[in-house]
Parts: sequence; C-alpha cells; structure tokens
Amino acid sequence: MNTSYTRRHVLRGAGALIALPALESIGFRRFASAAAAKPPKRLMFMGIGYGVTSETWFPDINDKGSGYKLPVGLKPLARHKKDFTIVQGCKHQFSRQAHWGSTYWLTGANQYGTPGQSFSNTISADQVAAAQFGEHTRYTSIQLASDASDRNGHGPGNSLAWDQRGKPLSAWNSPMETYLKLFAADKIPLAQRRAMLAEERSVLDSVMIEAKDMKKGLTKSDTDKLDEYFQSIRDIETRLSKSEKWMDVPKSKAPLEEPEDALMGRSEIEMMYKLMVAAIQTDNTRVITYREPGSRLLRSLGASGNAHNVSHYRVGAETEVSSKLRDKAHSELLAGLIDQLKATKEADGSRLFDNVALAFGSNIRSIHYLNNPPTLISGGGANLKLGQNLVLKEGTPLNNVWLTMLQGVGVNVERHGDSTGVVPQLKA
Amino acid sequence: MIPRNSIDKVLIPLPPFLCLLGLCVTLLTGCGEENKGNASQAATASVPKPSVKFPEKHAAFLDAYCMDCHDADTEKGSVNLEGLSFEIETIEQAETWQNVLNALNSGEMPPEKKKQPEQAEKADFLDDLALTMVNVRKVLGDSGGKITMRRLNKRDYQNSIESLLGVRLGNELLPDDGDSGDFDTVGASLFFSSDKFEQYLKIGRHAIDEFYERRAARSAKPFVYRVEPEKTLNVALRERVARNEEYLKRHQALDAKLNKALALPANKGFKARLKLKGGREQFYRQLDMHLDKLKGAPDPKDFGFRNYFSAAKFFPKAAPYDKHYAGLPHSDTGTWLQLTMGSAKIVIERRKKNMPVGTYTLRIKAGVDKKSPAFRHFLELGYPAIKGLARGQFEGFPLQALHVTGSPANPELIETQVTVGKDTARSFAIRERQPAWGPLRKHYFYPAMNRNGYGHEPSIWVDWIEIEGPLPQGDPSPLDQIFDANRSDRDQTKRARNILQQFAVKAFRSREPSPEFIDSLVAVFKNRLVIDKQFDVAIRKPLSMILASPRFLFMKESGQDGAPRALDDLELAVRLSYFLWSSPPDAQLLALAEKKQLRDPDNLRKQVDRLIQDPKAHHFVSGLAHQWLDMKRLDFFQFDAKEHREFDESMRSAAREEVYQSILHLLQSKDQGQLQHLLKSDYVIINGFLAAHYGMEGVAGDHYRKVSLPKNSPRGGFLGMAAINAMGSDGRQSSPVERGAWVLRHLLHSPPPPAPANVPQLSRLDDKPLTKRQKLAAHMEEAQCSSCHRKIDPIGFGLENFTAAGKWRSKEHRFTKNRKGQMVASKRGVPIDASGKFHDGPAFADFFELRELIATKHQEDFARGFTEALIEYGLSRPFGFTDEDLALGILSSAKDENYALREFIHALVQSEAFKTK
Repeated sequence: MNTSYTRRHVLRGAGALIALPALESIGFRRFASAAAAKPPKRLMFMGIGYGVTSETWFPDINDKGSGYKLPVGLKPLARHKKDFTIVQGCKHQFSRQAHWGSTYWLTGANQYGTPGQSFSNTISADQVAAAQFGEHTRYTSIQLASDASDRNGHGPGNSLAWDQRGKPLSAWNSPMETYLKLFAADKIPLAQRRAMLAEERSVLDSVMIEAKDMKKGLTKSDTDKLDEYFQSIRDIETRLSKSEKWMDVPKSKAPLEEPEDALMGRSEIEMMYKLMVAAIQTDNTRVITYREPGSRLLRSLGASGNAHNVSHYRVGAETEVSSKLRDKAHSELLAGLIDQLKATKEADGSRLFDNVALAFGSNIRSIHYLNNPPTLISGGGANLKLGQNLVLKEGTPLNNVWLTMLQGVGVNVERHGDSTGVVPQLKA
Repeated sequence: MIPRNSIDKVLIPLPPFLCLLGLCVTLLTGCGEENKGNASQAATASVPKPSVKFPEKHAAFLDAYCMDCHDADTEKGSVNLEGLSFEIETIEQAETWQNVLNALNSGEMPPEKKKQPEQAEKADFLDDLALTMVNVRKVLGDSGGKITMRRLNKRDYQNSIESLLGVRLGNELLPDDGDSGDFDTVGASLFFSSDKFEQYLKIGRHAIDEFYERRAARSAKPFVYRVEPEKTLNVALRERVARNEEYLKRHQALDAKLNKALALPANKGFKARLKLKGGREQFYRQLDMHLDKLKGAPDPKDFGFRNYFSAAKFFPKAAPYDKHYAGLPHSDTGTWLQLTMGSAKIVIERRKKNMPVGTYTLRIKAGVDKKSPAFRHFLELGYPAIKGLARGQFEGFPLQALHVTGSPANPELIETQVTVGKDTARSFAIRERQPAWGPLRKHYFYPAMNRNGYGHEPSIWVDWIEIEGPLPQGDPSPLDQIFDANRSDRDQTKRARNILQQFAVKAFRSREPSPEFIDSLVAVFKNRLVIDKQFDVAIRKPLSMILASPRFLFMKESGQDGAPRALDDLELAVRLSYFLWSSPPDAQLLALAEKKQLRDPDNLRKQVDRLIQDPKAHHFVSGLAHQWLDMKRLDFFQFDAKEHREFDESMRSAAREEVYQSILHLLQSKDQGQLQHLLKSDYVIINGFLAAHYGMEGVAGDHYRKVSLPKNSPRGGFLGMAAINAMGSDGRQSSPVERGAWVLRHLLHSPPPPAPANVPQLSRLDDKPLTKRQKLAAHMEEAQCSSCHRKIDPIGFGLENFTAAGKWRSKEHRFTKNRKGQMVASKRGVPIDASGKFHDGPAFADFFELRELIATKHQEDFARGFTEALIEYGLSRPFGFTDEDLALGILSSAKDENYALREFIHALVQSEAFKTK
C-alpha cells in the first residue's frame, strides 16, 4: 500500500476488503459515506466492582424525574446534572454472586447456564458493539483494568469484556501500558515491520501444524479445550491482518503527555479516564471498557480498610466514612471525565460528549445486595433522555438498559442476553 | 484390611441413599445391580446422574405461606409454584427454587401484611433449601466423571521450565491462571486465550535467554564480596550526628530570638490569632505568611535557613535516635541496625556484568541484644528500594527472614542462599523485620521516644555481610545436554534440526513431534539466521516456539467419548508426576514407563513412596493445601500494625509455611503421618520465627522442625495455627463468623452455603458497647440469618481466645464509638467466654473442649473433606457425585491404616479412575 495514502483511503480500502454479510455491508457503506460529515458513535463502560453507599448515592425513588434532589454521593456531578440519568430498579435475574461486581455486569448470564459446567458466561454488551464498530479502527475494542492483585469485588474475568463464546478478554492494566499501546511511535522501519509480521505469521502457522497434529485421538471435551488454542491463534491472525492494514497508518499523535510510571488509585483512574478520552478522540477504538481499582483507590484516598471490608460498611463506623470517600472520589473523577468529553471537539465542531454513550456502575449495589445496582448513564451519542432519576419497575432486566444504549448508538441488535425489550422511558 | 493394590476389585456397596449434608440424594436408576459387577468402571463414567430432592416435608411451609398468591389460579407476579417438583433435575427448576430462596432471604416474601412463619420454622426451611441448592448446582454442573485436558497451570509451567532448562522463572513473570473457583489443576477451568499465547511465547524466550546466560556462567570465576557496615553506615551516622547538632544549635538560636520577639508587648496575642492546633512545628510552617505582623521577627536566613517553613521541615526529629546509636558499644566493629529511620538497612550489591545468573551464598555475622523482645531477633533479606533507603524500604516483599541468635560479643554466622536471574536485581539488603513504615513510626517509634528519649531500643548488631558465588550449577539441564551432544555438527541447519527435534521430544514429555512441525521450526531458524547471523541467537526463536506449542502447554491424554480408556504407561507417568510434583516425570519414571512397568501396582506404590519423599513434593503440598483450605484469604488483608505489629509480611509467609510443613511432615513421616494430627497434635512443626510468635523458647534458626508441646497447649493442629486464625479475621479483629464457617467447611465437612445475596445486613447494635458475642446474638433474631449462623457462630466463639494474629488471649476489647464517632477499642478488657454448643450437638466449655470434640468426633468428616479435595486436585476435575464410590474406597483403605496421609494418596493413585481417561 502506498504510504502517501491518507487514513481515510485506508479506511475505505479496508471496508471494501472485508467480506461481511450483505446487510451489514450495506450498513457499513452507509456509515462510511456518512463518516465524512458525522463523527462516529462511541461506547464507554466503567465498572467499579463493589458498589456504592446505598443511603447516600441513590436519589430518593419517590423523587422521580428531572427535578430530583442530588444525593451527597453524586454531588460532585452537580454541574452535569442535566447530562446524566440514574436508572433504578434494574437487576440481572441470574446474578447471585455477592462478590462479583463485574463478571456478569455487561452480560447478565447465568453462571450455571451450561449443564456440566460450574461456570459459564456470554458475550458482554461492549463486545456486541465492537463486532459492528471494530472494523473501522486500529483496535476493535479496548479493555482497561487495574493491577491484577486488586480485582476483589469484580469476580472472575480479566476485564469487563467477554467474547462471543463467553471467554474473558484481557486488558491493558496500567496507564503506561495503555499510553504506549496507543501512541508510542513505531521506530522500526516499515519493511522490517512487514518482515516481523511475516515471521509472526509463520510462528502461528507452525504451532497450528502442531495443534492439528495433536487433535488426533482427543475426546469431545478435550477437542473443545484445544479449540481455545485454535481460537487464540485465529484471534491473533485476525489482529495481524488488522495490523497489516494499519501498518502504514502512523499511530495517532498523543493528545497528552506520557503518564508517570507508578500511578495508583485516584491518580491512576484519572489518567485512565484521560487516556480513554484520548483513545476515542483519536478514533483508535469506538468501544472501551474500564474495570476500575478498588483497594488501590481507597489506599490512595488515605481511607482505611480494603475494598471488601468497606463494601460491608456500617453506618457510623470507619468503613462508612471510607465508603463515602470512595463514592465522592468516583463522582469527582466521573465529573472530570464528562468535563473532558464536553471540552473535546470533533472534526465537525460537535463535542465528543455528543457522540458518546457511557455507563458507570456495577452489578453490586452495596454490601451483598444485587438488586438495583448503581447505574449511571451519560453522553449524547445514544439519544437518551438524560437529566432524570429514572425509576423503573422493580426487576427490570439491566440488559434492557444495555440494549437501549446499543440500539441508541446504532448497533444492529434485537436483544441482549435476557433482555425483554428497550426501556422506552430512557429514549429521548 | 483391603488388599492394597486392589481397590478396583473391591466391591463398594452403594447405599440406596447417599446421605449428604443431611439431604437425601437419590440415584435415578437402580444403582446396586448395575454397578455390582462393574465397580471398576463406576469410578469413571457410568454412574448415573443423581437428582437432588428437597425434602417433601417442606411442602407444608409452601402451602401455608406461599400458595395463597402463587398457586396456579392466582399466579401473582406471574409466579406459579403449584406443581413445582421437589426433585430438581433441570436448570429451569433450579432457577425457580433459587427465586423462592432469594425472595425469602431478602425478606421480600411473604409480604408484610400476610401471615408470617415462625422464625424457627423459616430457619429450618431456609437451611434445607440453601443446602439443596448447593447440591443442585453440584449435580447440574457435574462433569459426569469426564477429565478435561489440562493446561499447565502457573506452578506446573514454572517447574516444567526449570526441569527442561535449569531456569527458575520468578512468579512475577508468569501469567495467573484466573480464579474460577475450581482448583488450579481442573482442566475445564484453565482457559487459554490469545494473550496467554503471546505471554508464553515471550516468557519462553526469556527463559531461553536466561538459559544461555546460565551456560555462559558455568565458566564464570566465583568471587567473595564483603560489606563491613562500620566503614559506611557508621561513618554516615556520625556525620548525621554532627550535622544534627550544628543544626540544632542554629535552631535554638533562632528560637531564642523568636521567643524574645513574641514576648514584646506589641506582639501580644500574635500566636493566639493564628489559631494553631499543633505544636511548634505547625507554628513555624505558618510563620512565613504572617511574618509582617510580627514586630522584631528574626530573619531565618541569618540562621542559615531559607525560611521558617524549611526550618520546620528539616528539623532533625531523629537527632536523639542517631545520637544514642552512635554511642552504643561494638560500633567500631559493626553496626546496630536502626528501624524506621537512619541506618535502617545494609545493602550489598554488584554490577550486573560482575554478577552472572546463578545461585549465591549469602553470609551474615550478627548478634542481638538479649534484652530486646524475641520477635525483634529477626533480619529480613530483600531487594532494597531505591527510594526510602533510610527508611529501610524494600522493593516488594522480603525474600526471607533470618533468625539472629548470637550476641555482639559472640556473634553467630548466618548462612543462606539467593538466586540471581537474568533480570533480577543484583542488589540485596538486610534490615530488622518490620511492618508498614508509617504505622511503625506512629505507633512505636514516637511512643518509644517519649518513653526513653530516643526511639526504638537497639536490637540487632551486624558485623558484616558477604556474598559468594556463583555456586557450581550441578547436573546439566536436558537442553544443556542436547546442546553438548550437538556441539560438533558443522552443518548449521542440520544441527538446528537435531536440537529442535530432541528438545521438542523433551518438552513434549517423550512424545514425538510431527516432522512438519520440526520443518516449520527449521524454516523459522533459517529465516532468523539471515537476520541474526549467529546460530546461538537464531535458534532461540524456534526453541521458544516449542515452549508455546500446545503439546507442551497441554497434557494430552488420548480418549474416546463414552468408553473409558486405560492410560498408557507414559500418560500415567505424566499424570503422576504432575500430581505429586507439579513437574514433568523424571528419568526413573520415564524408564519404567518405557518398559511398560509403571502400571504394575507394586511399582506404582514404590514410585509414589519415592515421589512424596522428594523435595518436589512440597509443590504438591502447597498447591493442594492452598486450595483445599482456602488459603488465599491469608493474603486478603494488610494487618493493622498498631494492634498486630508482629503480623508483618515475614510472619505471613511463616504462618503459611507452617501449614505446608505440618502436612509435609505427615506425608513424609515414616511412623505416624495420621491426618487427624492436623486436628490435634502434641507437637508443632515450626522454626525460630514462629516460636517467637507463639512465645516458645529454645527454637533457634530458620528451618522447620518438630517441637513437642507442653500439656494443655492451645497449639498443635490447625485450630492453633497462626495462619488459620489470621484467615478468620479482617487483619484487625478476629471474626467468629469466618472462623466458624472455615471449620464447618474444612474440618467438619459440613460447608454452609455461600453467603446469599440480598440478605438485610444487621446494624442495629453496631455502635453499642457490646462484645462480639453480644452483637452477633442479633443473628438469631432473623430466620434468614439464623438458618446458617446457628451452626457457624458457636464454633467461632469457641476460637475467640485467638487474636487476629493467632496469639492467645484471655480478654477481649469491646469496641465503642468515641466522640468523633469512630469505633475504638475499650481500654479495659472483658474476659472471653469461649463456651458454646454445636447446633444440634454437644456443648463445650472452652477452646480445649471444642478442639477435643472436633478431634475425636469428626475424624471421619475431616478425612472425607480431605479426600474430596485430593480427588479434585489429583483427577483435575471438580469432585462430583460420580466420584462417590471412589471417595468411599479411598476412605476405607485409608482408615485401615489409621488415616495415614500417604495412604490416601496410594489409594487414589491405585484407583481405576486415576489410571483411566
């Protein structure tokens, strides 16, 4: 490919190369032609593991609509009050694990849904979107997480994201790693990178030969197990093809400085938020999730207790103080993120905020409660009715909210998990 | 007694009802007939799936409290419970029952205005239903005896690399296995993903690179390097003392002038107007801003300070501490280690090029002041942090704790070993053991300073520290041998092919790779050779590819669906060595397998005996115990240094190791080795570190050994171990609930169901000045709580004599709110009442009676729980209902040997299930 091609040429070229089912291709063409005029839609999900302080985070359920009083835990978000909605009354009907705030948050799957297995999961909402948006960007989707030792409260998984087979997707685990992946320039000359790519392919071919040979004589369940290996290799191949396509497109110029090395907790989340904005602003991806740190955040706030202890806060005890401190920090950070989204301008002059749909929350409300989990929706990209305290019928599938968001940003999907339909009250 | 090698031939009559957890589990099809003639297969796949039945007696409860609204006619909320089967066979039925359980647990049902059940009646219903649901999940999730192919877990991978290359990779380099709730040997739960593949490729390359460095280091000349701290630290200390004194002099002069100014009538009330809360330091920090309002204020620059703020900031608070240490005896020949600040650690380091990879001997000559408490007689060895050098900070956790037993007059030599990897630091440090720096300073250093005028009393004196090495490497690794054997081949491609072929056979545990695979590796080699020019660089890529290929990463066992197949000898060797060593089979096992003699029951028995006596059996013990006993909880909390100064990171490692060593002792013991010693024993397996923690004298040094206990000691057995008690805490206070639940799960084989979601939390008594027992009494008020807690709490109360750190106590503090609304411990303790009564069982007056009851009445329950864990660990699948007769078989042959630990292992290894795919 000629290096003087502009990025858009490449995009168009890439679009033409992909063999998609007819319907999606049409959708894509429509999208691509509109792309010149209109910025793309993006999705962001931020999961916090253990939930919030029930008494001080949720608006009063009797104080519905747009005139509701902002509770203490959301106070730092006051300047954006018109631009987010708190959705109450939802739950995932199959969720039972009181310490798993992230595993099923975006999937709503039944842990015991597959006979003969003690764990199963299904595709997460972000990946549903990534399957349709991912072709247009260097990264199909981006998953962010924190230090592996700090996943207490999130449950099994490597990030918020689960692929279409219900297998965990891995994440970039630090601001530094994220920055380098997004913006570190490739100093290696193109020809050499091509050679490296070719070598990587031959590595994959080679282990595939071995895997195929090994497949002989395996039982059904072992074949399924080995299939994970095949699938991994195929995933890398897909990514290599994508790398090849993007090879002569230089990485985006970083709109921010390289982060410090050892950020922890609050400063880590703050930096990750900046990087999330940078990632979607530069159209490196359109789907991004972040599994946020728990204990590290508390430590950085000087709060006593670890994430689990604090989730069992007791009114009047130190744990409650810590729990509220954490909520405050979360809201301040989120307000900062929304500030940035509003301040960042797109090519057509609109705000990045207008083209984003974001959700913040967890599958755990607080303590061991899984009903009415904290759900904050913001961003103008999904055409949702913001600025309200939306109290839905108790037990409304949380997946209805995700479905509403997905359809709102233009994902062609009829249902997600156990969804029973969109939430009409959430639509503007 | 059952003949040893014939468990498979022994008939184990299956009872018509398997009574599990007091629930009836019926087998769907007639079990007796079918299995009698075929007991050998029963262990694998042909046992019919049982269904779980919720006792019918509870129908009355549903009738009374649910059916008014949820019968077929009314179907309120579209919930219809009529006709709901008590025999739960499908996921759908399970969901409905789960919803019933959830509605009752959350208190949502029955609705407030409707008739309510009695607490006891509701508790019984919930109790049975919760346990039924646990069993339903087990049955529905049962793999039916299938063993899914297993990927090398983190431990297996680390050991496999070590056996192949002689390279021990650090834990921090290796990918975690993920936490699915199953054991890390369970194939079905060990996932593979694209990032794993890339990680394996990268780590494999790292290992190959380090292998090359090791090879080069074979010819390295060993060196000895010694650090005499009196020549460095003591000099710095004396300089600090001089500087401090000069500083204090200037400070006093400034202070005198300042006081004079403050005394002027014009400045009356100046200080009061600043409304300071703190002392002199705060005052100084504020002065710069208000200096213009203070008449005749001295200029700090005249005294050599930039301003008041910096004068306050650099005030040498530790001056008396340094001065005291500078004047201590033996300072001409060694150094008294300071703590918290000052000469807090001694560093020994070499440049990387002067310190090749390998193992080194590290020696320290040191002594202690015998007046210092026993827990302060330990050094920690670790990597020094670049920042916080004077605070004694390490990079990461300490590597080892070392017992200092001599005195400054008669110092003793401490010797240990350290390993240096490709990318690990070449810099080591020793310091006195310590908890987190901040709390140590706040809660110990300053109070000590207030008490004695300088700070921590001196404890450890170090004469010198030296490092010698690299030590000889021992036997060449398999890859070394392959390289040596192919040294002379001039044809580079042919040489590469031979090396790759031979290494693949080793890596694949004696299986031949396909020729196409080797061809493709050779192609990669040739391509690399063009770029890299050198053979020894170009060969590394294809070598690391072997370490990322499926036949190395997965343990292949051929099989057919529906027809169990006997493992061949080689597969058996692999299964056995990963079971007991988490490592690939060694030459002896492979030789037996090659001769097809491993399946022979006598040989198999001999090999098991050999394997468990090998040091590598530690991998088995730690891998099993960590998961069987849920020991990850030990890492959940940082211990509160104010309350539990001694529970630092070294203590955490020692406490964990005590559990492992106690099991290892049983495993390797020639005469005893009974499992029930873990419930109660008249000895402990400890080292000097733990002896200090337990207040036992006469145990010197860092190795674990058997130490007899006096009569009536609370130690001896799990319940007296620091690790077990620490897991039953939150790092600050003991938790009777965690402890009680742990005992039910792991000792009594009566696990309570997992903490249900949405149960209302009790907080009514939170801020009342009550004991834990009084507060937890609230658990008995609500049926949702009491259904489980009536079993859990009494046991936990029986263990209340142990602090969160596992120390013995006879009093506890009550926690009350202070004026600021924080919960603080009362000054005066109240005596602990450890008496109680098992739910539906006997009473006990104190901890000793509780332990006695568990040790005498629950041996079989304990053995049963252990057996299930062993089966899951060894057979690489969750323990299922299909394993029932296998468990009974193992238990019966272990019982014949009075539950000797190794007998469980023999019985499992000899079973048909272990030898079958």
